[in-house]
Amino acid sequence: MNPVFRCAALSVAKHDYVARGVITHPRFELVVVADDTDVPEWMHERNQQFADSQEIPYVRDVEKALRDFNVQVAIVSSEAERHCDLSIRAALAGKHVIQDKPMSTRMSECDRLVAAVERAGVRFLMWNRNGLPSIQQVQRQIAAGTIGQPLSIHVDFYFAKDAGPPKGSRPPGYPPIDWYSHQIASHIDGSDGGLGRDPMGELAVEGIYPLGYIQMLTKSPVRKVFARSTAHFHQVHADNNVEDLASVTLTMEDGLIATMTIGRIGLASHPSGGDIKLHILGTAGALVINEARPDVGIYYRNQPAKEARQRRVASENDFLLADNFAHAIDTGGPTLMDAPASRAIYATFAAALESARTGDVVAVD
Amino acid sequence: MIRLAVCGIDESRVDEIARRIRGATISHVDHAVEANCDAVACFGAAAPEISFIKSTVQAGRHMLIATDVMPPLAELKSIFDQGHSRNVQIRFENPDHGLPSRRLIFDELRGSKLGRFGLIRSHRWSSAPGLRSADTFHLPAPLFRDLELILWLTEQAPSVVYSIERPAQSDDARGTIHVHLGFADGGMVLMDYADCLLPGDGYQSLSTICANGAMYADDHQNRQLAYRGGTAQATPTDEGLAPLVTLIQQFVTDLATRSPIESGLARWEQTVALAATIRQSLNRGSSVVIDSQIHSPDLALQGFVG
Repeated sequence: MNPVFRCAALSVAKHDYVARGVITHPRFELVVVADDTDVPEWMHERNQQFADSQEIPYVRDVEKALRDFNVQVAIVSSEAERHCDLSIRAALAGKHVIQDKPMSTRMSECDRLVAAVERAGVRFLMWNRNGLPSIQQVQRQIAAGTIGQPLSIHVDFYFAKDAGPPKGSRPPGYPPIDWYSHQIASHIDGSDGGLGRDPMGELAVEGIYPLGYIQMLTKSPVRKVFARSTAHFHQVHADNNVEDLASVTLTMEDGLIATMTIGRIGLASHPSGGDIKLHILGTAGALVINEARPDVGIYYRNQPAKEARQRRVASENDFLLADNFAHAIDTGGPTLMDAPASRAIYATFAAALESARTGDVVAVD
Repeated sequence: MIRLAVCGIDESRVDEIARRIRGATISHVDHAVEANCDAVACFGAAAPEISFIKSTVQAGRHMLIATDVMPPLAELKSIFDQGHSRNVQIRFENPDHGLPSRRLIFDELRGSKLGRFGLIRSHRWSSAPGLRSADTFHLPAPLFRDLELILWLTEQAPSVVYSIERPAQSDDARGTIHVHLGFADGGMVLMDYADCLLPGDGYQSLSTICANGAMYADDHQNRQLAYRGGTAQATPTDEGLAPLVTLIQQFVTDLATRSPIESGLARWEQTVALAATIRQSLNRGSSVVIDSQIHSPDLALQGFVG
């Protein structure tokens, strides 16, 4: 019988889906929710609600919780600015870390986290979607040589979600939408992926998913980036000068080409949450993959607009990520997305944003 | 009743098309001047011989040229001038304009429902090596056609271009090319072209993301399953004769109603200028900001790529 890892949720200010995802695996047990004393009261309320739902204590002291509850794993899902800080504190306390995206809002914080994880000798996993059935299928096919050596890979990643009122809807004289307040208020419908004081565009908020696919499937580092971006759909993005639509061309090591489109393109643009596809061209074949498969179509009278018509089924993403993490702890082996890999993704979308701003091709640091 | 001769496609298909066209009698003709017709429509993979086009125009016959490969731009201009002086109507049409899927997207982009386009994303994969000539700055002909299609759909020229390519093998002319376009209003286009699939079916996809909605035309969605033991086969349900019928009917109707026929020449000029800029980006390995003075059709026609 393998040991069960005792976990602390270090803030669920953004969401609790990572913590809930981790404990789908029988080897992980949530024993405490914790956060810093001085966070705003609404964060305490969210943390308390989650702790109550799990029938575990909520402790307003991160270090005390890590110390007193015999925790082996910290699960971090705060607002973006505190991601690295909480992860570093947990790592330096000797805890393995699972963190929500984005890695941070600053490259210096990413570097600090990479160094801390290395120094502490703990395992780190950035939560991602690489365990989806379709993505696992692609990985197996590429590994089996089905399409030969990949020449190019393309990920079209559209989230059919709204983010407040449409662009152009702000009446004259009204103030711009405040990013932070908007994110706090949008928690109710789950559209607060960019929770933080610093406005974040879709590259930062969701870019980890398509870039994670590209990274896992090619195992090739990104060298150069060209990107275009715009606030095309939502007033909150336009008001805060961040993108809700972007297109990215990547030149990888050894000449492999990757491209990516990403956008929060509005609820009306797709009946089931968004068209997400991978196109992979190899020397001996090609793959066209719908990320949402397998799914089941469900349609009925008076169906709410926000309800997906095609429901994804049989996803073991949460279990597979947690299983990978347990195995990494057991063996000291790699995780599906470790700290250097997460930092590389951050560096890629940082370069993409710079490219979009300057119009130039930007080397990835 | 207009008498239209069609060349470049099988006679049996011409007969099928003829049954679907209103206002014209349709006949099949090889690439030779047909005495008994008012107009000629050219389709097929190869560009018609210039001498054939010129003699047809010389004979006072209207022309629809919708071949996969377009004659060189300089020739198009000369032919257009010749036709203009003889009151002959000529249309240089990208055959993909006739695809019902592309036409629907074109029409919806001009409607009021979807709003301004933000992103057009295309994938085109083929096993047949695309013809590369100096006229297209050595871009494969299907990609050149797709550039024209983008200009047709968006009705605007990009402001910045970035392109990269990779051969399938180190000594292979076939491979993959990616074109990334930015527009002044924030719109963007990302095109993925490859002509190195193994022999067999090709693949196309065109997604158009607009302010109030999106359109997805994807071969992936239009395949049916066949079970014959082992792994199932996915066979396409294609758009049949509809593309040819659409283009011919429109041409016939325009002639019959004496509507002004858009030659398409200006857009092909823009396409050549864009192809020159893409070649410039490929040569430099960098993005190119488009300057209308430098990246003009006239300079492109002279072979300037910077």
